[in-house]
Amino acid sequence: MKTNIFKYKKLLFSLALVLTFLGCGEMLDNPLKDKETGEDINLLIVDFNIFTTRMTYKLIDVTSNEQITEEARVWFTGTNGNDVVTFAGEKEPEHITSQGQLELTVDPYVDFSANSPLDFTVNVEIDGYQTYAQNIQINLEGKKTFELYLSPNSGGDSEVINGEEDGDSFVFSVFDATKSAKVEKDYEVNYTITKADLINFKDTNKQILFNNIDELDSAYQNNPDNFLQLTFDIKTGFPATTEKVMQDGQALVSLMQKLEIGDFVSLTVDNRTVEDLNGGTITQTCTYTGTTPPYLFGFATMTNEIWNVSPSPIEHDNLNISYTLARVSEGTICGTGCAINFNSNSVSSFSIDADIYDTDGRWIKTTNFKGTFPESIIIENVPNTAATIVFRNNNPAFEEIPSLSVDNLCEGTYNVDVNIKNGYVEYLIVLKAYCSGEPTVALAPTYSAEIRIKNSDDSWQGIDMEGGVVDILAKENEEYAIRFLWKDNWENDEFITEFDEEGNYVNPSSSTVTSEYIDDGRIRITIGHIFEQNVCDDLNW
Amino acid sequence: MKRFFSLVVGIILTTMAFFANAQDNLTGSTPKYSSNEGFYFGGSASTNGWGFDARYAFNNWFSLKTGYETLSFTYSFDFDENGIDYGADLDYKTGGVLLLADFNYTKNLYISAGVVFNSFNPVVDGRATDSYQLGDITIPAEDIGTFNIEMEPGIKVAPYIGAGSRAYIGRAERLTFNFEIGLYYMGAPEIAIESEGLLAPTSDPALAHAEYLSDQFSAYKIYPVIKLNLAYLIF
Repeated sequence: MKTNIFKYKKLLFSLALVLTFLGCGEMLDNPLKDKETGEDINLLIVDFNIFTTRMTYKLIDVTSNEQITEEARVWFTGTNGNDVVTFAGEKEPEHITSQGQLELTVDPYVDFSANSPLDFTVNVEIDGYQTYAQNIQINLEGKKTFELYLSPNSGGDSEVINGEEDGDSFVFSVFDATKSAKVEKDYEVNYTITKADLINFKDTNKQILFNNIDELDSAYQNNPDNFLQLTFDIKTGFPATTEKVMQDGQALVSLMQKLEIGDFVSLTVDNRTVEDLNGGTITQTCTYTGTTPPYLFGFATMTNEIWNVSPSPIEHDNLNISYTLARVSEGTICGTGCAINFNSNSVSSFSIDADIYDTDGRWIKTTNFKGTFPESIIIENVPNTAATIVFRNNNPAFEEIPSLSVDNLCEGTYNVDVNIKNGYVEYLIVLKAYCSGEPTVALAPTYSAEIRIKNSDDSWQGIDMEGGVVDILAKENEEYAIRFLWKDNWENDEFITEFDEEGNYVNPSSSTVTSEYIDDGRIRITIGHIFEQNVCDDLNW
Repeated sequence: MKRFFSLVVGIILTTMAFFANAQDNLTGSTPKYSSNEGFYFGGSASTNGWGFDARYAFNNWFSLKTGYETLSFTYSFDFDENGIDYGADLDYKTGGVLLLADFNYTKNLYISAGVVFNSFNPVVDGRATDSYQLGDITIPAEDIGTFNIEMEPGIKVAPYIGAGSRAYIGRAERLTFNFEIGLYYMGAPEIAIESEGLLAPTSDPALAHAEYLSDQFSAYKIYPVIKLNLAYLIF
């Protein structure tokens, strides 16, 4: 035996070496290189979820209730204005978006509490809209959605007010809404022009209107109807917001509602359009006509990020007239109010919009509840009053949620049960986001995202992703679009809720989509999304 | 499995060829003891650790042996990933309890087979060592977090096969020295991860990163063994 084997020892030795290397071949591969791509692997996955306060800003046209997709410039001022950062941790002097939405956060190393809230002002500038400013106080960490209702310069209700003679003046007190149904108002905005001023107004031909008051009177007598017409573009439908309002020399956080914003359109006198007041003035006044006047009522102007609300008349010496009429409610605003427990028989992320009305049916504010069932969410910055919370029925996966009566917005705990509509199935989505150009660098984003059935008219459903993981509700055998906003662009992806019996994903995808059953019986859908934007550059990777 | 068998056969043949000449040199002329029966006890050093073993040779061609080996050391290293600096300590532990049978096909050459109750268990404990600048925010190292990556064999009771050469030393041939090459088939290693802070997704089962890393290391099913052993015939 010995002789037989070792007679061929060199051959055997060579053969043995070859076989050994064949056997160890894979072991010689560097395990730190991805088997498929050959790129360096990540030993660790990082989620920069140091951000405990995430904010979604939605820019909404108050006349259409649609998000504004014109280019917007958004910047933050005030005590904590410099603490608002992007998810790349950048304290930008301004943010530009054309998506009608911004995802921002707060420097996590800035302490705040209900006793010492974050305090800043968000400012928005969009061509064709009035510059917008809103005070914001944040008392608690969490996910916040701020709907900023901007007023377009035109496109509201056109109000034509006829002037009537009143002694030495003309008073404009009759209005006619020509665009939409009149809103029953419990206030009036009136204008007065003295005859002495009026005769000196110039028309579009740079000619003064009348040589003297007698000529004016004569013209008026000849055509008293429609002699003077003042047209304003009126925007209403603003929710109340918590703002810093000057009261008795102190800036106090109060609930303020813009009743209307008016923009001058035209003034015609005896069918001649006025272009120049030529040293004259138009006096603007406001009157509350309701039974119970608000604590403060009047024209609102912002100075140094503090609102002044005053019923004092305003003298306008030019025709660039734009005004904001507002009311301020009496009473304290509690930074942290009642808790609402959202329960469901589903484990799912949710984003529920709700409108809060006082006992008189007045719209107090809109709020958004975002989380994962079951979750308790504390309402912030609400008045110390009873209210009804009306949940918007805009989530196709949820049955209509009954309104919730709240004894006091500032205290207590209330339960809301959310029922899932038939046909919706729970899935676990895992989003692994990879940097473009560096496909092995993985992010597990903690971020707000949205889904809906692809190409449908459904509302986008907000979902709340934690470390790239989110529980969702979706219909079976449907193609879904998923998107999340990074800087000024949506990152889009899609998946189809169609699987084989083993839970495997059966459809081709532009991204890497895989699926499998997990222990709780749900299907986990893993989406490998390659960023279209230079996210890695933003993160200095 | 195909590669595994190639590896096994390769190692055995290599060993046989390598020691083909060595046997005569080590043993010299025909030993005084025509039989090597008896109980041997000795110490060993191998890639699977230091230890001791006890062997009982029933006859010239068959013996049973058991033993215990252990190896443990710590190695600290630094690395950076995605711009974050980490420090890590590799706590390397291996060894196990051996239950083997030796089959001598010559007086000095043998094949060894059996099982090892494997305690292979390397652990890497790591932490961010430096703050990370995320835009205008400085994230302290302690907020970035820590991680613990632990590797365990896929098969705890690992089959072992090896081949070696045993030399009998001294006139009475009571002292033996043997050199052995072999391997454990411990299966694809299983990786478990714990992490916290910003590194928490690394251990999130939903992201299945541990499974991904396990797959990356799945080729490492074999633990190679090179062993030196010195033993004495007790009785």
